[in-house]
Amino acid sequence: MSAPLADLSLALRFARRELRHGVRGFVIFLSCLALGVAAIAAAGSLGETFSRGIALQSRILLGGDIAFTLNQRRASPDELAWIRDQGAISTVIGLRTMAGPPERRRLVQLRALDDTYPLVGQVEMQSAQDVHEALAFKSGLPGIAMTKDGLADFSLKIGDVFNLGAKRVYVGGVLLSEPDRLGVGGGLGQRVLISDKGLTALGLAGPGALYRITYRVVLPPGTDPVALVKTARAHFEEAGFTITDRDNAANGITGLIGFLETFLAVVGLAALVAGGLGVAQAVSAFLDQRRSTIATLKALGADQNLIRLTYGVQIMVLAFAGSFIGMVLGALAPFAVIAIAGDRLPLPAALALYPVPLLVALGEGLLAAAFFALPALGHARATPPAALYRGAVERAGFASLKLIRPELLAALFCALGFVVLAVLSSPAKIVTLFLLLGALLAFLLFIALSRVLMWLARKAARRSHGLTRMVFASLGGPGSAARTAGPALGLGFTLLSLVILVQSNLVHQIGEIAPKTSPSLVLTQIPAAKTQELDALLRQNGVDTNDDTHYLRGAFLTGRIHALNGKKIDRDDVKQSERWAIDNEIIMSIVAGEPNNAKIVKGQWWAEDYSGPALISLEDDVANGAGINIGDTLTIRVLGRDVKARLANTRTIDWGGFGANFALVFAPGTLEVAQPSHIAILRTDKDNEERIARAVGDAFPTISILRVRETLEAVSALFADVSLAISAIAGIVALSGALVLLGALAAAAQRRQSELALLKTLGVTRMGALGMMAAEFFLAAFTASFLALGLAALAAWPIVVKSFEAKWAPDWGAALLVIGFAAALAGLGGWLAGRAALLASPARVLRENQL
Amino acid sequence: MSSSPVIAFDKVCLTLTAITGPVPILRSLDLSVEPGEHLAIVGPSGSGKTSLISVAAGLERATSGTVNLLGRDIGTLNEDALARLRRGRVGFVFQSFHLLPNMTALENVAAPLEIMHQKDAMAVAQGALEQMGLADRLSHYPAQLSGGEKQRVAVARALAPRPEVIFADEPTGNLDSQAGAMVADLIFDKCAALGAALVLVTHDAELAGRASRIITMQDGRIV
Repeated sequence: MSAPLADLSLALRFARRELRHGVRGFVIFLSCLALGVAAIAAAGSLGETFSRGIALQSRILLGGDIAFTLNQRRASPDELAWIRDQGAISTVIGLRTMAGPPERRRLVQLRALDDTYPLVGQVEMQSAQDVHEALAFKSGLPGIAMTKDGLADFSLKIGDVFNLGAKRVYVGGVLLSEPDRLGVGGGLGQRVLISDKGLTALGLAGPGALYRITYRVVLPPGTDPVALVKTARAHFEEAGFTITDRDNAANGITGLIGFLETFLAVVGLAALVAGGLGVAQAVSAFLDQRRSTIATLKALGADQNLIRLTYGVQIMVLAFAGSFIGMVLGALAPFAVIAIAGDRLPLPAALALYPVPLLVALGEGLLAAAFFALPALGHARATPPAALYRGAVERAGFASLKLIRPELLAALFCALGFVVLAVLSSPAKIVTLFLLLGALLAFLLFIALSRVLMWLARKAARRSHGLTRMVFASLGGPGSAARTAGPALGLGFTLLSLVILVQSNLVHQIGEIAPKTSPSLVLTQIPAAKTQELDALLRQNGVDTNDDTHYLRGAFLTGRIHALNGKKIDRDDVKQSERWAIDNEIIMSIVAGEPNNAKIVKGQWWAEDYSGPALISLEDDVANGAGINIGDTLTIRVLGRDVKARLANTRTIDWGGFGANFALVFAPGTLEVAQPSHIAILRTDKDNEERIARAVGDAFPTISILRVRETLEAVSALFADVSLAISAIAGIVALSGALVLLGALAAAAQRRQSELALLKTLGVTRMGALGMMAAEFFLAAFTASFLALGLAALAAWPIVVKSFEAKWAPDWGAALLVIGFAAALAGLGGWLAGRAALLASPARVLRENQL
Repeated sequence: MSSSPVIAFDKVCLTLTAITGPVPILRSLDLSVEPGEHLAIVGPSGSGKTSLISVAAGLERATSGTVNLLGRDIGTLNEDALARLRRGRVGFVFQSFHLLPNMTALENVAAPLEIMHQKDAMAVAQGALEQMGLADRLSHYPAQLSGGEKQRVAVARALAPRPEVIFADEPTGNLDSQAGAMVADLIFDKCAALGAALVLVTHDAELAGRASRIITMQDGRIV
C-alpha cells in the first residue's frame, strides 16, 4: 500500500475508534447542518414536485397545445381561418360582470365556453353532469354553472334564476373543477361558466366591452408547438395576439414557484451560514477535548497529515450524517405538504424523490461544514505537541493564521464552491447570488460587531469593578457569547426583521393608507353612450362629478405599444423593470384637460380643446426605460388597429393614490370613434358607498362595480396568510441562530462551571453569579439584534419603496418587540446555563478541575 | 545502534513568552546522553526538568543552541520531520499517562506501531501487554483501568516499537508506592533489555538512584 493510502487507512481506523463512542457534544452540530440542508432540500424538492406537476399537465392547463389570446376584439375571419387550419379549435371568452339579486350583487369572473370545450381534460360537475347540459337554454334562459362556494355566496341553488349583467340566467349545475382553471389564473369574484350562445344572449361582449378571448388549438400528432408558435408570431406580427404554447401554460404560477423555491433555498443557505457558527463552535469544542489525544499522537510520531486526516474524517463523517438527516427531511417535505395542505393547493404535484436537489442540498451542507470546521482543524494540526500540553494556545490569534494557510485556502475553496453550487442550482441565479452575498456581508458585519463589542467589553472591564467587571470580562474574553451566538442570532433576526418590516409596511399600506387615498368604488364596463346618464345618477346620489379629487371618469382601453418611430421595439433594449409596458397590453384612456394631479416631468399637456394629430402622455419611467423622447412617434395597437401617436409629455404616477393611473393617455380625437367603454372611480364614505353601488347596480346592471374596501380586506387577509408563511420560513434562520445560541449556552455552562464555583467560594451569591451569565448573553443578543434591525431596515426600504412603490411606514414597535424578546430569551438562556453550571457542588468542581 | 550520543545539547536555551514578558526556562544547557545510558533528572518544581525532556524529544523547540536527537540536529527539522524521527525510535511515559481515551489498552499500545505502518501491530501490542501482566485488560478502555494499570499500558506503548530512547516524566508520580515500584521495575528492566537510553525526570530520590547517572536542575541550569 502506498504511503498516502496507508495514512488514509490508518486515519480511518483511528477515526472509527473515536467515533464508536457516539456523537455526544455534536447534537448542535448535527442540528445546525440538518436544519439548513433540510430547508434547501425541501426548497428544491418542492420546486421540482410542482414544476414537474405543471409540466406534466401543461396541455390540460393551457386547454390545448397552443393558445391565441386577444383583448377586446375577436379574431377576424382571415385570422380565424388561419388558426382553424392548425388543428381542432375551442374558444373561451373571459370577462368580469355583476351577478346576483340586487341585495347581493357582486362582481364575478364569467367564462363563456363553446361546444367543443374542453379539448383536453374533463370538466368535473356534481352528480357527473355534462357541463354543456348544465349550460343549455331552458325556458329561454341560458344556464350557468358555479362552484358550491359561489352558490352559497349568492344563496342560490340549482334551478334558481338570477341576474347576470342585465339579463336573467338560471343555475344549471354545480361546478367542481375545470381542467384549465390554473392556466387561466385567479381573480376577484366567483367563477361562473356559461355557453358562448348564452354570452351572446346577455350581450356582454359587444364592441368596447372589456373581454378576453382565447382560441385553443389541439395540433395534429407530430406537429411541433414551439415551431408553430414562431410561425404564428411571424404571421400575426402586429395583430396583437398573445400566443402561448403548452410549455408556457402557467408562466405566472411557475414564476411564483420559482420565487418561493429561491426564497426558501436562500433561507436554507442563510440558515447554513448562521448554523455554521454552531458547526465551528462544536468542532472547536471537540478538538479542544481531543487536545491531549492529538498531542499524544504527535508525540508517538503522527505527522500533521495523519492528524488532519484522522480528525477531518471524523468531522466530515458527522457532517455527512447531519446533512443526510437534513436531506431526508427535505425529501419528505413535498409529501408532508401534500398530505397536510393537498386539498387547499390548486397545484398539480408530481410526487417523487428528485435526486438532483437532494444532492445539491447535501453538497451545500458538506461544503458549509468543511468551511466552518477547517480553520479549527488547521489549528489542531499545526499546533506543536508541547503547546498542546501546556494548554496555553490562543487559537484564534492572527499570528497563527500563517500556520494554517492550507486549511484557510481549502476553506476559501469550500466557500466558493458553496456559492457556485447555490447559484447554479437556483432557478433565479442573479437573485440568489445577491441574496447570498447580502447574507454573507451581513454575517461578516455581525462578526465585526462581535469583535468590536468584545473590545469595548474588555475596555469597560478595566474601568469597572465587582460583578459588573466580571460580566464585561466574560463578554470580552475568549469564550464570549458575542463571538458565536451574536453573529448567528444576528443573521437570523435580520431576516426575520426584514420580513416583519416589509410585511408591516405593506399591511399599513393596504389597511390604512390605501383606504384614505384609493377610490371607494371602481365602475367599469360603462357603455360610452350611458356616461352622461351615469354622471346624472351619481349627482342625484350626492357625488360631485366635477370634483376630480372625488370622481374621475374616462375611456378605458387596452393596447400594446409595438413600434417607436416606425421601428419595432426590441424588448432587449428596454430596461427590465419597464418591460411590462412592452410585453403586455397596457390600460389606457382619453383625457382632454390636464388633470389636477398630473405630475408632468417632461413636455406639456395638450390644450383642453385640442384637435389634431394623435398625442399621448406616457408614464415617465416607461419612457425613460424604453428610450422614448418627447416628439417621438409610437405605434400602438388598439382594438385591432394601429394608431400612431406623438409623445407630448411624460408623467409620474402615484399608483397607490386616487387619480387617472393610466400608463398611457391619449388626447381626444383619435379613439372615440371606437366607442370604448368607460371606467369611473369615486371616493366616498362607507354608508354612501353602499347606497351608490345599489343605485348604479339597479340602473345599469351591466356596469361592473368593484368595492375597493372589500377587495382591500380580501387582499389584506390573503397577504396576512402569505406573510405568516414567509415569516415561518424566515424563522428557520432564527431557529438556526437559536441552535447556535443553545450550543454557546451549553459550552458556557460547561466552561463556566469552575469559574462560577470559584466565585461562589469567594463569596458571590448565587443570584449574583446567575445575573452575570444572564447579563452577558443579554448584551450579546441585544447588540446583535439591534444591528439586525438596522440591516433589515436598510434592506426593507428599497423593497417597500422601490419594488412595491409603497410608502415607508414600518411598524418599529413590532420590530423592537422581536429584538427585546430575542435579547430577553438569550438572557434567560444565560441564566439557565448558569443554573446548570451551579448544580454541581463547588468542592467537587474545583477538585476535578484542579484550580 | 549508533555509538554517538542519542541526545546532545550544546548551549541550549528555552525562553517562553508570558503576559508579563519573556520567562527563561532553560539557560545554556550542555548535555549528552549515550546509547543505553539511564539518566535521572532531579530538581525542585519549576527548575526546568520537564522542559528539558520536551526540548530533547523535539516536542518543544529550543530558543537557541543546538539539540541533537538520534544523530539529527532537530532545530533544522520541521514538525513533520520531527514526528517521523520520533516514530518508533522514541518512547514516552508521562506522569498523567496520556493514554488515548477512546482506544482500548491494546489499541493504545498498537497506535505507535500502526503509525509506523507495522503490519503485525496488534500482535506485537498484545505481546507487550502480556509482558506487562495485562493480558486480561486488552479490550479495556483507559477509564476502566486503575492508575497502575494505565501506567503499565503507557510503558508497554512506549516500549513496544523497541525505541532507542525513552523519556519518562515522573512516571510514578501519580501512583501508590506498590504500583509505582512495579512500574519503575518494568521501565528499568525493559530499557535494559532493549538497550534503550532512558531519560527519567523524578522527584523520587530512590527511583533516581537506580539510574546510571543523575543530574540536578535548578533555575534552568544543571548544577
